[in-house]
Amino acid sequence: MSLTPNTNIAKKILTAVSGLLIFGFLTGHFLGNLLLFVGAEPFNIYAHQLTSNPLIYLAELILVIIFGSHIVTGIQVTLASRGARKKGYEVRNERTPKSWIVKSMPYTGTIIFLFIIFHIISFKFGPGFDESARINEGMLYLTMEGEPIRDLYKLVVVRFTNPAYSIFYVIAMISMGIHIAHAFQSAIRTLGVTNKTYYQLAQKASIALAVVFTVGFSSFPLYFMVSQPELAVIEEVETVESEVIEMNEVPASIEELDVK
Amino acid sequence: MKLTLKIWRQKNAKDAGGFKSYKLDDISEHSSFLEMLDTLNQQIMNSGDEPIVFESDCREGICGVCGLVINGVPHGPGRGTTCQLHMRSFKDGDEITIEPWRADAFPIMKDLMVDRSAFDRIIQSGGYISVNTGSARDANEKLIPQKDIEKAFDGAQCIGCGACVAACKNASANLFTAAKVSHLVVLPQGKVERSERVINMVEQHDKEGFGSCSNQTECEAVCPVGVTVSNISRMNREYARAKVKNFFNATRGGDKCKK
Repeated sequence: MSLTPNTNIAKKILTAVSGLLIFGFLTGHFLGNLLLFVGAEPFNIYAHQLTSNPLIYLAELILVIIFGSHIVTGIQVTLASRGARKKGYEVRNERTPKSWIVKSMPYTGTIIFLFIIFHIISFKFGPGFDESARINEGMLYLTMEGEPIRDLYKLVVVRFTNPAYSIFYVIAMISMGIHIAHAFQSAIRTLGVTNKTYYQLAQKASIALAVVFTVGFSSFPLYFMVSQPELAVIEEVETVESEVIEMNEVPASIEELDVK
Repeated sequence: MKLTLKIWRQKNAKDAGGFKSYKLDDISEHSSFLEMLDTLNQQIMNSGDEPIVFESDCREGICGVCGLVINGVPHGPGRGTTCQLHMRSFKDGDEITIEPWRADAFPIMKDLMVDRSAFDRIIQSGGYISVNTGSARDANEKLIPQKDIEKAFDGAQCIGCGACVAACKNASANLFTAAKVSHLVVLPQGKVERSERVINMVEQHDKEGFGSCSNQTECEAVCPVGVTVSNISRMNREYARAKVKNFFNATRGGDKCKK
C-alpha cells in the first residue's frame, strides 16, 4: 500500500496527526472532569452514561490506535535518529537554546505513557469497576432518580485527598506540559506550515496549550488535596448505602405480607 | 597569535582515529582559517610528517567543500563557510578543536575529509527537471511572481556543504533535501515531476542513513547561506500530498509514480 509509513517523514506526519488527535481527547477528558467541581451527582451520572454506552468500545479502540501509532512512530523515529551518528563530537556547541525541551521529548513521553497505564489501572479498573462488588467496596452511588451506579466521584476524592498521590499526578501533568510545549508547534511545522506568522502563532499556542492543560488537569488533584472533603462525602455515601439496604428490605416485607 | 590546535587525525576510512595537539606561533589575525591550516601543514611537512587532509576549493564561500567543525560548531563561530572565517574571530592563546563532519552517512575518508556522495545520490534520485529550459535568455520568457522566486531562491542557495547534517543532533539531511525539493517545486518547470521527486528523494535520504528532523532548527542556525527550515515544512507537505495522490491514483487504477 502506498500509504504505508515507510520513511521517517511519513512516520513523523503520523506522530503529528495522532498527537493533534490526542489534543481532542485531552479537551474532552478535561471538560468532563470539570463536573468534579459541580458535585458527585453530575459527575457520577456523566461517568456512568459515558461508560455504559456501547459505542465506548469503538471509542476506546480508536484511542488505542491513536495512542499506539503516536508511541510506535515516535519510538521508531527516535531510534533511527540516534543511530545516525554513532561516533559523537568531542566538543559540541549548539546555537539554538531550546534544546533541553526537544531532547526531553522521549523521556516526558515515557513518563506520560507510564502515567496513563497507572491512571487507567487505578481509576477505570480500580475499585467499583466490577459491578457485583461495588457494595462491598463502598463504591455504589444512588442517583436522585434511584439508579445505583458506580461512585467514581468517591474514588477520585479518596485518591486525591492523599497528598503523595496528588503530587505524583501534578508531576505527571508537568511532564505532559513540557511535552506539549514542544509538541504542538512541532506538529504544526511537521504538517507543513511554512508561513512565519502562522508558525509564530503556533509557537505561542504551544506554550498556551501546555499551560492550560497542565494547570487544568493539575487543578483536580490540587483541589481535593487542599480542600480535603473526605469525611463529608464518605458519610453521605454511607447514609445512601444504608437507605439502599432499607429500601431493599421494605418491598421484600411487603411481598411477604401479600403472600400471607 | 599563539594557538593550540586539537585536530582529528585518521589514516583512512577504517582507522579508529584520534586527536593530536599542535602548537602554532606567529599567526596573523588577518589570515583566514584555512590559511592558518596551510601554515600548520607547511610546518608539519617541513618536519617530515604527513600533512593534515582537509577539503577546500574556491575559498570564496561559494563551493561549500571546506566544512570543518570548529569548537563544536560547523564552519566555526562565523556565519559563512570555514574559508570565510578569519583568525580575528579567535583570541591569542586559544585552544581550537577541529573535527570532521560526523554522521554515519558521511564516512570519514582521512583526517578532516568526509565522503559526501550521499548528497549526490539524493540529487540523482530526483533533484533535477527533465525538460529543456533553453538558454539563459529563455529564462525570462516565463514570468514568475516575485514571491515564488524568493521562495525558490531560499532553497536554491544551498551549496550542499553538509553543515546542516553536521549540526543536527540526529544527523539528519532534511534541510539539504528540503532545499532541493523546495527550489524546484515552487517553479513551474519543477512542478511536472513533483510527486516522484519528493518521494524518491525522501526515500533515498532515509536509505543513506540520515536521521529525522526534530524541529530544533540547529541546521538553520549554522547554514552558511541561510537556508530556512520553512523548506522542511514544504517538503513534508509535498511528501504528504504525493503519498495521498499516489494512493488515490492506485485505488483508481491510474498511473502510479515510479519508485
